[in-house]
Amino acid sequence: MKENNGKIRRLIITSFYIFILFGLPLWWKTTEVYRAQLPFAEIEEWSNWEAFDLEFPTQFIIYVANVETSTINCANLSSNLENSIASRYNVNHSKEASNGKRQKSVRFPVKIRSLDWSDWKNDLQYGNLENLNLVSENGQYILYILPNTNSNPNTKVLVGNQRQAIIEINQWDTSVIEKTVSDLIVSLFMSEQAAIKKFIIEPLSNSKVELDSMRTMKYSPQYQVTFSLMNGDPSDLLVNWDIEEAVDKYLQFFVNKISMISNLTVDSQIQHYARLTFEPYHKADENYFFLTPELLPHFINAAEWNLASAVSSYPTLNFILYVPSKEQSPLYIQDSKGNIAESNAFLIPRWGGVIIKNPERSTGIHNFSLEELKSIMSIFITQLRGLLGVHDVWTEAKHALDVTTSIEFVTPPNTAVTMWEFDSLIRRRIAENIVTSITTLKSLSQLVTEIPNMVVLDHIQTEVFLALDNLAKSCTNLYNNQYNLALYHSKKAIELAESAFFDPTMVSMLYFPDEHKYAIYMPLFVPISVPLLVALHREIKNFKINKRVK
Amino acid sequence: MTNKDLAYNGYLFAMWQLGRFFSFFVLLFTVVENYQHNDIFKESLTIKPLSDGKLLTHFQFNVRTNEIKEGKAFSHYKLFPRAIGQIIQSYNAHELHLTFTQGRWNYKDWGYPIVPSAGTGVELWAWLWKDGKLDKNWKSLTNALAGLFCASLNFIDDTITVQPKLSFRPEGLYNATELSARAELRYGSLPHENVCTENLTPWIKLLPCKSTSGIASLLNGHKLYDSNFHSMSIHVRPVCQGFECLNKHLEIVQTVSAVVDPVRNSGKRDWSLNQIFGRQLSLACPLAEESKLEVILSEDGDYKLSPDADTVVRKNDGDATIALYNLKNLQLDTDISMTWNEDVFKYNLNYEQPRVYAHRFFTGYGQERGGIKVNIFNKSTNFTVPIIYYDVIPWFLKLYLHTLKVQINGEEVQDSPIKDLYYQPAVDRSRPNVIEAELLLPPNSITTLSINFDKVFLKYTEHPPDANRGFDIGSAVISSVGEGFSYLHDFVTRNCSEDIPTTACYHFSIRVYTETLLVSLPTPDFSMPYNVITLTCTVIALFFGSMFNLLTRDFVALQSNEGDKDKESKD
Repeated sequence: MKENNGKIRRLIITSFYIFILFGLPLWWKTTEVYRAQLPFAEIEEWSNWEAFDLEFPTQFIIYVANVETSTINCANLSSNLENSIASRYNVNHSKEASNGKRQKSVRFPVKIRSLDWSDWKNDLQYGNLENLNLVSENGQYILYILPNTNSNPNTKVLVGNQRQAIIEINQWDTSVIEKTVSDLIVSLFMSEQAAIKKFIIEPLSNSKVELDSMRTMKYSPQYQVTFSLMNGDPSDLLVNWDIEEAVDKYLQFFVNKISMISNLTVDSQIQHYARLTFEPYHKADENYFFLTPELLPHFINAAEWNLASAVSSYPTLNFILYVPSKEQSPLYIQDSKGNIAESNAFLIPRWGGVIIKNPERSTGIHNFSLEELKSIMSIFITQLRGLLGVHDVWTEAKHALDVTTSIEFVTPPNTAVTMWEFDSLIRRRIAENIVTSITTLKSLSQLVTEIPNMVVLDHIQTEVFLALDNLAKSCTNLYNNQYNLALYHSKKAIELAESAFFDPTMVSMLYFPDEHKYAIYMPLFVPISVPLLVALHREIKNFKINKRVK
Repeated sequence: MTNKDLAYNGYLFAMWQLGRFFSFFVLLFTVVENYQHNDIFKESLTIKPLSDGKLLTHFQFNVRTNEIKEGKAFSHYKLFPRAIGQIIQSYNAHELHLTFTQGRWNYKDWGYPIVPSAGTGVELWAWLWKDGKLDKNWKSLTNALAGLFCASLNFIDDTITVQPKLSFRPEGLYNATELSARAELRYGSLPHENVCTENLTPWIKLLPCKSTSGIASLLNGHKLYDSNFHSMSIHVRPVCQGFECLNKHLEIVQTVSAVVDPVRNSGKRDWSLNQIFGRQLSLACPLAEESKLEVILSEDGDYKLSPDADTVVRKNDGDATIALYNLKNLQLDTDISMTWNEDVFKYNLNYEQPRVYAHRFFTGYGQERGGIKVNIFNKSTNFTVPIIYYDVIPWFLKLYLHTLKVQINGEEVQDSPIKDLYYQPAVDRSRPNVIEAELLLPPNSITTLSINFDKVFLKYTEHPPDANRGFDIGSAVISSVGEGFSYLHDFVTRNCSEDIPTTACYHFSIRVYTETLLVSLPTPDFSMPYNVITLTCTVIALFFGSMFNLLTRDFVALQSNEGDKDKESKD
């Protein structure tokens, strides 16, 4: 009878323990915060560059003039050029990934097709190569090669507005053509490739800070461009400007053109009593005031000049035309050697540009007319190009080439950005976007892993999946030489990644941490566990005694 | 365009007539014309001694532009503040009115305020065009203004937002049929919002001359917030240009009103600008087309203004005399001051009271139910005054419409003075109660409206951090209606600009604001949820412990064998 009782008691205690064993996970599960499953492994793959290889292919069609006296084998020329460019390009930029398994790689394959251009004299006579063989795809370029017509010993390059250039070669010889063309292509694309390589291989390295990347704004699908006319003191000079007409005339083409990459919304304002926060230096003998490069970072009086936009949350590019007050004019910018800067303008990296003007103040009123604004706007546009990352590819190439090559340009249309520059900007932005979205996704996955109390809602999951999908599409499009689609998808990817990362729900639930959960259940768990533990202890003791007795 | 043509014609004419020298001046003149053509800026400061010795100071800054037009994207700002222009354009607003007020306007002693809005706290109302995302625009508008003015305007959510049906008609130019078809009104107020320097600083930054020159240089936060009442507002509305109304302009009116008390300091009602604002007025804002200082003089009294005013104007519609200083031509080297020939200020008991004013208060006691009662006074001896009563009661007070009673002079009347009633019942946690009633106030009467309510027991997370303070209920608003009720207007009601004919002016209704109210709702013990959890846990643990012991322990009756043995041995 007693033996039987003991057995039942043990059974009861065991059943309680079994109940708790199953109950605890259930309790754990029901009191957990909601976390949608994120594709951590996939993000990890992308950030380790296991998921893709980047390729930025370029294609050249070379029309070689059919000169009777010479025989140039087009097929040979193509393959020779491809080889020589490939060898100089160092096509496979790669670096050991951190885990050592796999290598990051970026490739810049070049395809060259040479064609015999038999009708060249005729075509040239009509002169209008712009309308001939137009290519509308980014990454495809046409080069026309013809013998030099005049006695000029230099190689002459005429750059068209579209994706084409005419090269006049002084020595009509296969090796010279080869060398000239390969030199030209390499010097045109080298700096862009170096930049892309840097983006991708060392996205976070701060060791070698490039002036160029510091100046360019971070990518955003939209920028607010604000022109401000800052008047130091309206009591002695009233100012006005024909900014609306100037924007329409000088800037609108650029805005339209660049809208494929980022939208620019333009506005302007006039601010009066815009005072500097410091006193500029005074040069007494020549009676002018000047700013030194050390003073320029303090020029913007952010507290008092109304520069922020009340409605837009996109980054703002500010362009300031500053008219100093009577007590501080004329005001000039001096370089470190003490020479007055000719343009009297300076650029603030990732912020905007400033021009200082000292207008005639005898009438007490000054209106910056359209004519006067032309030179001002051209400085502003140059600054804007720099801030948006537009690179003057041909001028850069000129520095890389030897002096015997002269480069001329067909008068560009009023867009302030040529096709060559635009293409280069698109390629750079694609690389930047891809890298930034991967970094953002990586940070997101780190954040989610590190803070276990953070709620992850379903729409975050959707956005992350879509971002990854767009990344993959962007890479595929790059591979297929469809730069515009690649740009579109890279834009999508970065937007989705950022909206997931900056989602307002993505904060850890500070108001209900795990400690509070334990504290609340403490009054239940402690009184229950005491009799259970005592019973267990007693049973073990009995078991031991029984064993000894037996 | 026409301006340029004119300039060109003028130029040719001058060349032909007077040669090159004169043409220079013509050109110069056209430049000046050009400069002032688009945006017009006017500033004024009005000072009015009140009947109880206090002093009303009212700053007004108007900027008009003809460049911002509805439906046309505009982004090149000159004098009109860019921040406001962007908000108006991005959120498709027809009119915008934002007022920050601290303190209560004392209608009985002070008459009507110059500013149209005077409800304590923040009041925002806007007419927005219907463009399919009107509610989103309203939300964004409140958020943008909250950011701009560092105020909690973003707390104006659905539970506070109202669409008044009778009150708050547009104050600018509008086409009634177009407006009713294409625009909607949104109103929100935060009675508990405190107003201070952080709101004034961004407000000043919107002015063309900021606070550097002109009358805005007198705006001194230390003095301004040391006043009995102050109010700061922004009104944006389309207006007519000229009598024929050929051009539509957009106007922004920025005002600051403050009631200061010189009697408190000296026992006398003498004042000077330096004494009120702690600053000197130096020169007019160079951008202003008009810059003036007005002192509204009382009829009687032995006073002296120094220096002498440029002109003294009598307004024939009101019986006021106004001393005017034109700051544009005046080079001020002395302080403007006003002195009375008296040793100590004696309160005047026979001042003229405003005709219509109101008081509102709570009735009842306890934490379960209560009532609201409003007394609306009509002091005019022979006019029946039509008014609109507007009241927004938050959803946590459940109104009973059947308890709405109207009494005149304390007695129930046969024909109700309510001519029209619009009532919106509250929906819990989504919209407030709204009462709008069109009333006819008989001459020399007190009209009393009363309604009863139940108080709701709120969820404990819905209470603010200072739950025991209670909840603020915003002011009720009494608006005058219709044309021809100019007798309601005080002579300083200056919603109308001078170049608008007076008859076109009367759709600017005057509004009377009642007191805000403070209601205390039953407050729970905020540690209660934890107490409940703990108590429940303890009960469960007790139950568990006893059940467990019942199941695992043997309960055996003690057998008193030894005791029996003892007994046996004794025996």
